[in-house]
Amino acid sequence: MFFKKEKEVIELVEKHAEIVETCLLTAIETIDAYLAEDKLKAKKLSLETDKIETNADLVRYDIRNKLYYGAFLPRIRDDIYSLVESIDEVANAGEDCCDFFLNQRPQVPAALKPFFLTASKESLGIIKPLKEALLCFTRGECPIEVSRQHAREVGLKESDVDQIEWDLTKKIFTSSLEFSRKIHLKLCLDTIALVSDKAKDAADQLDRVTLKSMI
Amino acid sequence: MWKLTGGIFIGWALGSNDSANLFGTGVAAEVVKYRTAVILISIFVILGALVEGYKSMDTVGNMSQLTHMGAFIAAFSAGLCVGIFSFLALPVSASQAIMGAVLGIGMISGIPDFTKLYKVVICWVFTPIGALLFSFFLYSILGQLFQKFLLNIRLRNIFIKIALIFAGCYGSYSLGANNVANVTGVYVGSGMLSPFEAALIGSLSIASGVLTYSKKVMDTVGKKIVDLDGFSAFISSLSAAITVHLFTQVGVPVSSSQAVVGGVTGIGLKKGAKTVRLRTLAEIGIGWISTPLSSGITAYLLMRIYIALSGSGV
Repeated sequence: MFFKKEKEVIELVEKHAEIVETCLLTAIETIDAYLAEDKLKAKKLSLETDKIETNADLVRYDIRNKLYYGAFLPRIRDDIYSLVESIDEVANAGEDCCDFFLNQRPQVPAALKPFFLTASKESLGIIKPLKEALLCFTRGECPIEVSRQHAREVGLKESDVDQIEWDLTKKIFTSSLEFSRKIHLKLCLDTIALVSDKAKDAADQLDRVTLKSMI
Repeated sequence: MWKLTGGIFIGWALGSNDSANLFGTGVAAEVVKYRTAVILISIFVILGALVEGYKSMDTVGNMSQLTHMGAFIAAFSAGLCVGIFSFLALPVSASQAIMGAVLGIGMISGIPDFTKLYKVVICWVFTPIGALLFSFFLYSILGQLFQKFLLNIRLRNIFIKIALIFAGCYGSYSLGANNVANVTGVYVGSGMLSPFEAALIGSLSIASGVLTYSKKVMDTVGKKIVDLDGFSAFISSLSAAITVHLFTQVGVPVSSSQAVVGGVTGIGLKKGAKTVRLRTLAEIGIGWISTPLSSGITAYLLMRIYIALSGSGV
């Protein structure tokens, strides 16, 4: 069948985005369980996150194979793969958050836990508008301008996360904690905030692909 | 029959050079394999020549009254110029070369019919301009439809792929219909071949160039054009094909290369981007004079030598 490869690639790109979303939602649950002191559940969920992220990698390899075996015009081929790679990096950043909590075990004071949870939900939850923007583009159900608007919304959401990060950083450093703990918590917060930064990069790449497909 | 070798030579040179204008984008964009592309070009060139090739034969054949030997020398001189210019990587048009050669020989037997030449030169000038206008307007009209109805990236990609193949096949048809007269038109004028025989032999010789020696030029030109996005490449190829086909109806062989340059320039004007270097446009202008002049002088000199040696007429 003609143009079967293109159809398969788009299906895989959408599947990849679904997996990345599941990965990040599981990562949020992991952090939630960790902050709730349920280390066993957190560990189980963290392993689950790792597994899902590995699945995302496998789908990405599959996309790469199909693309470089001739799906899509060369001009757009690299852009599509870069987009998939940048979305994959969001999943990697989500996995890094779980690893940070489960491996370095930061001691989050009870007063700061709700803020860390909010930061995690906002930063890792950015996958939802990113996925929406991606599907809007791949399925072609909305005009290109709407697709680009969705991509811009990811950037706005990232700004919200930056604000949360700023406020929480201030809270950490104005607290009476030891300096080493402050630094550790700040590192933890940086790892969480990196997810939204990566999502913004992916949204920028999506916007670039959308723009290049415009006339 | 050996006198046909001059025409076959120019046909071969034309096929090996001009096929890049037709399917270069498709091959560089990996829409079709090189082997498939050359087969498609050959089929459509032959089809175009057999269906509409006769329309331009008279223009070339009747520019001057030629003997069989005159026809051979005209075709050979034009082929020689095309070959040397191509070897030196200078832009050259077979249409302009053959016209120059026919006029060069015509100068020996008397004053050639320059009234026909005016029409031809006007068509040469309007080839890039026509393609420019077509691409400018087609880009606007088809672009809006493309933007409105093809929202899905997969469908867009499929459309571009099919469109590039369509433009390549149509361009090949137009090339066959228009340019076959460059190859064997002089033999129709000299009464050596009937229009059908001329179309068949001419198109087969173009196809031989396409099939045997087009890969290098296709790679080079195709990659240059494919720097455009797929839609722009399609519009520029389609505009060139329409322009060349249109001039077939007028009965004047024109340059497909110059039509492509015009098409690409039109895209640039529409998008407000520089798609063609000024030097390329200047080279086209210079080519309008230098190509027919070179082939004309070559044909004139060769014919003079032949007359001096054989003592026969033009």
